[in-house]
Amino acid sequence: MMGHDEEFVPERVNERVDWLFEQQHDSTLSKTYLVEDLQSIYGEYVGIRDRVRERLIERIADKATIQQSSTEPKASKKRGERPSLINFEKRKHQMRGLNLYTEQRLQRLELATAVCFAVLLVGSMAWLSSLARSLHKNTALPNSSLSSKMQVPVTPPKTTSGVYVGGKKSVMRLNTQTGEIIWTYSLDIPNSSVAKIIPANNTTYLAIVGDKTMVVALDADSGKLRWSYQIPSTQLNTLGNSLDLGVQDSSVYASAMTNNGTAILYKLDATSGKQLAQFSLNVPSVSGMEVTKDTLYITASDGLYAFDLNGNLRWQMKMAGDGGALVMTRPHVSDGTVFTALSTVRGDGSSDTVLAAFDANTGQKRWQSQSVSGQTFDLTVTDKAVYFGIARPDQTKSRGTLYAYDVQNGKQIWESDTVGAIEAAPAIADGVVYYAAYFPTFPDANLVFAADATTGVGKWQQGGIATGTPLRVSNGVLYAMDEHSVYALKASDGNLMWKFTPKDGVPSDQASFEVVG
Amino acid sequence: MQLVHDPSTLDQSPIAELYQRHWLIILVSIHQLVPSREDAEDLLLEVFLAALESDILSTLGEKQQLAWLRRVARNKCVDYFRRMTRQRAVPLEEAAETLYEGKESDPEQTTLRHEEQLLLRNRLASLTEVQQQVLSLRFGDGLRCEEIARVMNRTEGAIRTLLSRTLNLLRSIYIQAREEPYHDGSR
Repeated sequence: MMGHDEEFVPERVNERVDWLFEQQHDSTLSKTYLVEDLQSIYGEYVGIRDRVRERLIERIADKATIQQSSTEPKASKKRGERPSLINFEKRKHQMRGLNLYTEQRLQRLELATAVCFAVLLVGSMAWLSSLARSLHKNTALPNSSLSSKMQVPVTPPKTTSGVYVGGKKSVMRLNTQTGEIIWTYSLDIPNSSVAKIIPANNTTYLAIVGDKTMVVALDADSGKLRWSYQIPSTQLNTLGNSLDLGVQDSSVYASAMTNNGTAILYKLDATSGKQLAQFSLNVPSVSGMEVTKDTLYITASDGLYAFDLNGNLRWQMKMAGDGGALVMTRPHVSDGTVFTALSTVRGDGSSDTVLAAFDANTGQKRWQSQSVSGQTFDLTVTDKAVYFGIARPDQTKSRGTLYAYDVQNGKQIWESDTVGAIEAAPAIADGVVYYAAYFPTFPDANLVFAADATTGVGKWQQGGIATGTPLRVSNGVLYAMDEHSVYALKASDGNLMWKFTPKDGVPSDQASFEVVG
Repeated sequence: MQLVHDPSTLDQSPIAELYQRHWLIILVSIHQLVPSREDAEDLLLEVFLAALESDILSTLGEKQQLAWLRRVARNKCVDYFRRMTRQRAVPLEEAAETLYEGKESDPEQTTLRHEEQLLLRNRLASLTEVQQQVLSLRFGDGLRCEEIARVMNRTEGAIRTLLSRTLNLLRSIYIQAREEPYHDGSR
């Protein structure tokens, strides 16, 4: 039974809206009017959206037809002629051309600089080599020995340390020790937000969604743009867009949803951003993906999929919710096993979750845990245990529980209740698990916890951070982010080291962050 | 030279993309000033037709394009009111636009609902584009939080929080309108 006229709370806002809509004729509830009015207004707006769009397209077509008939005999533009849609596009191309010219000049300059640098480098190495030979000629060290030492395997460049924060308007790199801004990169894309950040190869890869769906690569040292790749809007779901990202070796993999409700995968060169390949994946509603050396794992609304890196299906495990919609966490691959949690979310607002492990090569299920009440959004896997938190609606005493399960057999090791809901995967380091509980209408329950990862026994808790964003831990520092600020706490006792609150834009309710220690 | 767009690609033209990006925020701002939905629809079309004809729009950055659209929308609304004044439009039109016409037979109740809806329209216009998008997907397209999260590429938790906060913010309109007169008789 729903309460009378209580506030909307995140955990049951869907059900509350549905229920209120059913109670439309109960004029004693102020919220029924709100829901009625919103449904009416936005229902009309969607109708207007579609009708105006249709009318607009008709007018564009009419205009283009008129232009064609008036310009067919003579293609030259008359003085005073109104600019056409074609011109609109043409001007854009010209502007792009101008930018391209500037870019080409810059590229030439960069090339010249690179050549000079290479000459200096080769010269220095030759000098060093001759110096080494002269130093070691009396020790009978063969030249081949020196050259073989120089032929070490190429390792990817180390990514510069920093707290990389992406929000609505910009991406920042903060000093891990002080929280000071090292660089800021402005996102000049309306309504955009950073859906994912991957720091790798001394590059900060960003999945940007908004009015444009893009993959952007920034130099991690300087924040300068290395390249960007815009996913053609014609291929994307017109209702909006989604983008997930993975980096493996020298490639970036980006998955997005298409208009026909299936996924599309782009393989990009990690250095240049050039599209190497594009694959259609027959997968509905992607929840998350993980890329390994040779396999792309995807969780979706109907199960778990494994593709090779050419987009060919290797195996799939079809799954369904138990009397409700299936919501899976992203897949986590560790030691030949794929871990994911499967939540069933039902129309009455109830939900429950099971944890499952699958053979990464065959998809065969290795184990499945007992079901627990509530929904999980993500999990963390170590070599000993799988940890995940639960968000449980409609509970006044405990909305959250953190669980630890044995990674080998799926047996529960321990559990710990929290007043607030746990909406993000915990962070683990040095035998300690860190997690956050969130309760929007009861600020005292917004707490960050540290507990012994083996036993679940609490070590400390810290208030004042209201977050459902994953925590990060690195070099003895725990990092958290809420809608307003980024926080660095001493991992040993939870004391605040620094707090960064930008003027606007970052972070926000739609931000993401990663830390390189 | 091919000057006509292939009809199948018309909806991928720059102007259609501009419309796809900004239709909601422009419509909400128009509807705040123009209560008639039919007129709001016509004005929305006029704004984007002006964009189609514009010489300058393609030279602007995306932020400036939105500012340009807002300015044109405002001017169109001003023109609309001038026309209405000259034509002495039927004043009952606005009343006919009430969301639940005839549902409340009590005149006092009807007035209250009308006032609430007016306040709601004003409050909606002050919401961020993201808040409006979430409301539109929830109440216009009928998506649930998990679906909205996928569409907007955010976590379900973030959408739930955003939606519940926005609804609590809007709900205060109705609580104030209905409950304040009965506060302890102190008023």
